Parts: sequence; C-alpha cells; structure tokens
Amino acid sequence: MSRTGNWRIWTAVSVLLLCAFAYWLAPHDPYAVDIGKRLLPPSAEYPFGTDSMGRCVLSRVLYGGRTTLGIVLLTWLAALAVGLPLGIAAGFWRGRLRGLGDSLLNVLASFPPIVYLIVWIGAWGSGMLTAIVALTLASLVSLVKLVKARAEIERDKAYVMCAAASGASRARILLRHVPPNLIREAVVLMSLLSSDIVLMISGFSFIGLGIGDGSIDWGAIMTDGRAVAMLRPELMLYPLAFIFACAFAFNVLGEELK
Amino acid sequence: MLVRRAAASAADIMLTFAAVTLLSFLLMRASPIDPAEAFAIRNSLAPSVETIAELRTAMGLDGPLLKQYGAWLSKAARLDFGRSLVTNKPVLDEFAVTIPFTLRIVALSAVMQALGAIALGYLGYRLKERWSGLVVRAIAIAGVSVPGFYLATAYLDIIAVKLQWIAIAGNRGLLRDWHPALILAIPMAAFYGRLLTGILAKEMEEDYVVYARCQGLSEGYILFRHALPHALLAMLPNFMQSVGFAVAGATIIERIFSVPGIGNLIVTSVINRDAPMIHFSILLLAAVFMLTNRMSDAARAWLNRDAARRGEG
Amino acid sequence: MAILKLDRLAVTAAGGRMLLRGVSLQVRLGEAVGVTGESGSGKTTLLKAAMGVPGKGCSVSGGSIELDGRRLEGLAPGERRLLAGTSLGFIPQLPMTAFDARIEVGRQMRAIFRKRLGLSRAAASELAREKLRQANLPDADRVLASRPGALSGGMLQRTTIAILLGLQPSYVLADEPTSALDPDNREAVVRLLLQMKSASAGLLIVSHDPEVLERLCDRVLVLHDGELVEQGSMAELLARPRRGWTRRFAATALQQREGEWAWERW
Repeated sequence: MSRTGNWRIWTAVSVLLLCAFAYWLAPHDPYAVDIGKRLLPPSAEYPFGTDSMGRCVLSRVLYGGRTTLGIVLLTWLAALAVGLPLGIAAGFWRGRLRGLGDSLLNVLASFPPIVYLIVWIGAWGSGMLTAIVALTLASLVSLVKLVKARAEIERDKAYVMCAAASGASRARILLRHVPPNLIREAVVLMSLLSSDIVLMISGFSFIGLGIGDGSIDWGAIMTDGRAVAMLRPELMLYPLAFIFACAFAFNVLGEELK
Repeated sequence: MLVRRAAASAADIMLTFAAVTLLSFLLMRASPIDPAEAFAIRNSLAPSVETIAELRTAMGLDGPLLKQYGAWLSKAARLDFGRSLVTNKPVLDEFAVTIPFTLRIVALSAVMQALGAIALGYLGYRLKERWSGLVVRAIAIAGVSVPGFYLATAYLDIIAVKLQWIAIAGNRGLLRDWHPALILAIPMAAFYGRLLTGILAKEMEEDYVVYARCQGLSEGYILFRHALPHALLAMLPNFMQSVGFAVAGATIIERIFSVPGIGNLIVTSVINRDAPMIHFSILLLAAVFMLTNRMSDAARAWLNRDAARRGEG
Repeated sequence: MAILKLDRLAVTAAGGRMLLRGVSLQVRLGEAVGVTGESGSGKTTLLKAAMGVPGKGCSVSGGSIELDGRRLEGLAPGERRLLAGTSLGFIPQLPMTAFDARIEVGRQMRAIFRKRLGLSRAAASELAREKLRQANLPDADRVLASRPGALSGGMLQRTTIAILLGLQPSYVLADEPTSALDPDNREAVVRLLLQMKSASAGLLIVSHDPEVLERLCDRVLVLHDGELVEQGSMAELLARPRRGWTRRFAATALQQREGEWAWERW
C-alpha cells in the first residue's frame, strides 16, 4: 500500500459505509405512500422531493443502500466463510478427478456473476434470497479458484518440507502453510466482484427481475424515475449517483489493495 | 502426438460439458417451478391433480432422476430440447432465430471495444505525467462503474426520443445494431483500456526499452512500435474472453433496446418461468463461455510457444 | 574541452536510499577508465545515470554530468535524447534482452540508423551490413535476418558494438560488456573495444573481470557503497590493494593470471 494510495482506500471505505448505514438518517418512512404529495420538488422537508406515490425519495434512496450493500455484505460473508477453507482444501486435495474438477472449476469461474443471477432467477424466480445465493455462488467459484491456485503453490513447497519431516509434524507443516497475502488477494477479488454485483442487482431490478416488491432497491427507484422522467428528470439521477459511487468505490478499493 | 493431445483436449471438453449439463439438469429439477403445472395453467387447462400427473408423465418429469437425465440426454443428442411452455414451439428453433441478432451486436461491439481499449490504454500511458492522463484513467474507472442499463436508457431517451435520430421500431440492419453495440462496448473498452495501460507500463520497463532509449529513440516511437504490439498480444487471450462477457451483458442491453436477440429471449423466458427455455439458456451460455475459454487458452498457448521459439524465457 | 566529466554525482533511489554518494571521474577521448567494485556498490547506477536512463524510481540528486563542456543533468529529455547513441554510446550487460525479441535484428538496426543518422533505407541496410562485418560477424546477412532469440549472446553483443561503430559516439559507456559471454566472445569484445579506443573514443567500462580492466583501462576506480574508495592503474591496484574487497579482487586477478580458475564471486 503506497502512502498516497491510503487516502483513496479510506475514502472508498467511508463512501461504502456511508451508503450502507445512512438509512439511519432517513427523514421519513421510505414506504409511506401519500398520493396527495406526489412528485414534489426538493424542499427542506423532502430534500430529494417525492416520487410518483408521494414517498420521500431521499429516504428511499438511503434504504436502497441498505438493501444493496446488505446483499453485498452477506455475499462477502458467505463467500469468504465457505470459499477460503474450501479453496485451501481443494488446493491440498491429491485425489483423483482433479483434472475434471479443475476443468469444471475453470469453466464455472469463467461465467461472470450475471450468468449466475440469470440461471438462479430462472430456476427459483426473483427475490432477495435467490439473489444472495446466486451472487454467493458466483463469488465462491472465483474465490475457490484463486485460493486453490495459491494453496497448490504452498502445498508443493510444503511437501518439500514434509519430505524432510516425519509423521505428526507433516500435518502441522501442511496446516501452517497458509498462503501469504491470501486474505488480501481474496479481498481484492471480492471488491472487484462487488462492483459488478452492485451494478447487476440494480440492472436486474431495473428490468423487472429484481429483488422483489418488499425491498427497496436503486434499480427499482430508477424504473419509477424513468416513468416520470419528463416531469422530474432528476429522480433517476439520485439513485444513479449512489450506484455509481458504490461501484466506483469498490473498484478503487480493489485496485488500491492490489 | 498432436492427435493424442487434441483427443485428450476434446475428451476434457466433452466431460466438462457433460458435467455442466448434469448440474443444470439437477438445478432445473430442483427448482420450485413445476413445468407441468406451468404448462397446464398457461394453456388454460383446468389444473386438476390428475391432469398435472398425466402431463408430468408425458413430459418425462417422473421416475428416478438419473433415468430422467438419461432421457433428456438422449433427446438432447438429437437436438431435441423440448418445447417452449409459452409458444409451444421447439426450444432450439426459438433460439436459432435470435442468434444472428446477438452475433451481429457482439461482433460490432468487439470491434468498438478493441478500438476504444487501445485508445484509452495508449492515452492512459502516454499522458501519465500530465493531468489529462489522470482524466483518461478516471474515465476508464468510471466506465466500469456506470451501470450499462443506465447508459442504454439514457442513450435511448436522448438519441431516440429527444433527437429522434433513430426510430425506436423499424430501422433494420447495421444502423440499428451499432447503438446497442456501442453501449455494450463502453464498459468493456474502459475495462480493457485500464488493463492495457497497466501492461504498457510494465512493458516500458523491460530491458529492450532501456536499451532503445540508450540509442536515442524517442519515447513515442518505442511505445508505439515496440511496447504496444507486445502489450496487445499479451492482451489477446483476455480479449477473447470478452466475447463471452458481451453475450452475457447483452441480456440487459438487448432488453432495453428491444433487440430480438438471445439475451432478450433469456430474460423473457426467465420472467415467464419457461423451464425448457431456461434450461437451454443455461446450456447455451455455458457453451459460449467454454468456447471462448478454449480460444483464450489456445491463444495463450500459441503466444507462449512463440515466445519459447524465439528464445525468450 | 573533449572530456566526459562526472562531478560529485549523487543518485537517490525511490525509498530515499543513496545509491551513489558523490562520485567524480573524468574520461578523455582515447582514454579508457574502468569502474569496479562488489555488487551493489553503485557501478551500474553510475553508468546509467550518466547515460540518462536511471533505474525505476531513481534520480540524480546531486552533482553534475558534463559532456564536452555541456551540462547534461539539467537538459530537457528531448535534448538529452539527441545525445544518446551519437555522442554517448552504451553497451549493455545482457545482450540477450537488449533487443525486441519479436523483430528481426536487421529491422531494428535499420530503424536506429535511419532515425539517428537520417539515412535512407538502403543506406541504413548497407551500413548495418558493413558494421556487422567490422565487428567480426562475417555472416552479416544471416544476423540481419534473424530474430534475437536465434543468435548467441556473443553475436548479439558484437551486434550492439556494430551499432556503436555505425553511430560513432565520442564516448562509450559499457556495463559489464563481457560478463555474460564465454571466453572466446569475451576476447572478441575486448579487441573491438580496443579498436574503438584507438579510434579515439573515450571509454567508461564497468567490469569485475580483471583481465578486461587490465587490457583496456588506463585507470581503474573502485567503488564501495556508492563512494569512490580507491583508484589507480591496474598495476597499482594489484600491487598495493588497500581495502578488503580490493585485496580479494587482486588475489583473484593474480590467480587468473597464473591460469588458475577462481570461481569466487565477491
């Protein structure tokens, strides 16, 4: 990490934390419909104005952050929790079917997250759980591929050492050979993937395959905004700014940590 | 020797693809969508339990899973992938019609991406000392952070509606294709442009560059005549994979531009929960990615062989 | 004033570490000055800084470089570039990686001659052929048509010298020109350098090969940790080495002279 790169990392993290937790500061209930107050321009009471159903746009956008980044967070947790140990185990695996497993893993890892979303939503319909599972799987495959590759290198080094050791100490050497920099590389991978994930969640919501009616999502807000773009063109831009900010922040994070 | 390697490679591809078909089959069977029920409801048959059971037998949805898979596999080998639950036309036919549309867009997009990536990558390095270089690099990162669907809608709204440059319906042929191709190309050009800048930076630290400078050759000449060709070749394998990404990315773009391509059909099938169509979509996407992966690996292998022949490390 | 002068040259690396701490030397036309010392003593840094191609992150932090009375270190990159090759020549340590591996040697030589000497394509080809022969590569056409990977290290190093014979710089900076070569090729390169010297070029040669230093150099400078610690003719250094490294160096040199192979690396 260079000295100058540090401020970029902290800025990116701050932006992401802000988007994730700013919903605490939401002035209104994001679900509160009030037809009488439709499409109001920005004011002190409604800083971003209201949408076509009279809901406070600012509150909705802030809650959208909770949804999107909540999904991303769950994806990170699930993918890292399963992927790191699985990858290391796969790297040390010396059984048969390794060739086929490698090919399959490479093919699966080459599918971008969007394919996983399409496939999973196709099989299970759209929804929050489907999205999380699909994105976790997508991240998992890439993560396992990365971790396995690093683990294999360490394994080869470890076996050289093991040849000199004997019995119980072999197991210890194997276990202690966690690849260096692995956490950092995993975080870089997840950050760059998360940028895609943010864009994709919004994109799919936008075309109607999104999270579902219960949750508020930036893509859905943009769909609403598009319908009234003639009257209130800026309604599409608020969620867009947040989407862009988060995707950009994840990208910067991934790049700077490399 | 070469034949043996090709045979092993082919076997590998077949086995992997078979594994993918099995996985997708299991996935579709595990999903809560019951194709029989969906079919019955869509075709306005009174969905009594018996009707559905009959349909299930007729559609081959009962019996042990492995047997079902075998049946499906044998039908697939004859290129029979079932019929769409919505239109009742053969799945393969439905997709066959859409392929040319997507292919044209992806091909056009590939050309635009290449040009855009080269321009952004080259400028990103050439201007790296000046603030304009920072702008170029910022554009590159921004390019991958802006949602494609927004670019598509904004583009449509501005170009088509406000400026009326294209009619939204109608306008066949190349003129119609290059709009979605452009939107598809922008994020990828940004992505590869950034990659190229990095590769150029590394290439310009090589020994031969230092020596060329010692001969008094200009930075621009060295960059253009020596570093750039090396960098482009190094990026060739990556670029081949971009075709796969383009096909996947085309789903949303095609939807927004109302292009009757593969992506649009996939989205429609997913919205309609049209199981046989969805299943085929998975296979199609898998096949596309496997193909591009192989091309990419082959390119990489060829580059390595070429380097070895030339006596490099 | 035909002289290449480095006056208290200092070079700092990216992290702040000083690679060269104020080294001064002079090279006149027709004279050969050697620079030696253990690895990491700053020999290559000195040469590259003088050439104008300091390593990654390194920069000249003090002192001056004067070429025939003209200060180089403050020049704009474009002006400095004009001197490279035609006034200040360079011989690399690793000839195998000095050329672009994808392009035939002939094309690269022609490009250099055309761009730096303004020759036509045919004239550049002819010059390349002539100089390759002069550099003891009779099969010039084969060399011109080959890619660098098809040629041996010795042939490639003779090619770099051929380029210098074509550009005719007044001063030649050589970075361990023989260290990557086998004895026969070493001999050939030493002879070529002697030729250049007698043709009135000024040579600044970095080497740790005692034979090269002895046959070529009028004076030898010893560097240690970026500083000049000893200097004199090879005879003086061998007879009265002062520092530990120089003593080991002298011992090795004498052993080599007596025909014994010393595989010691310092």
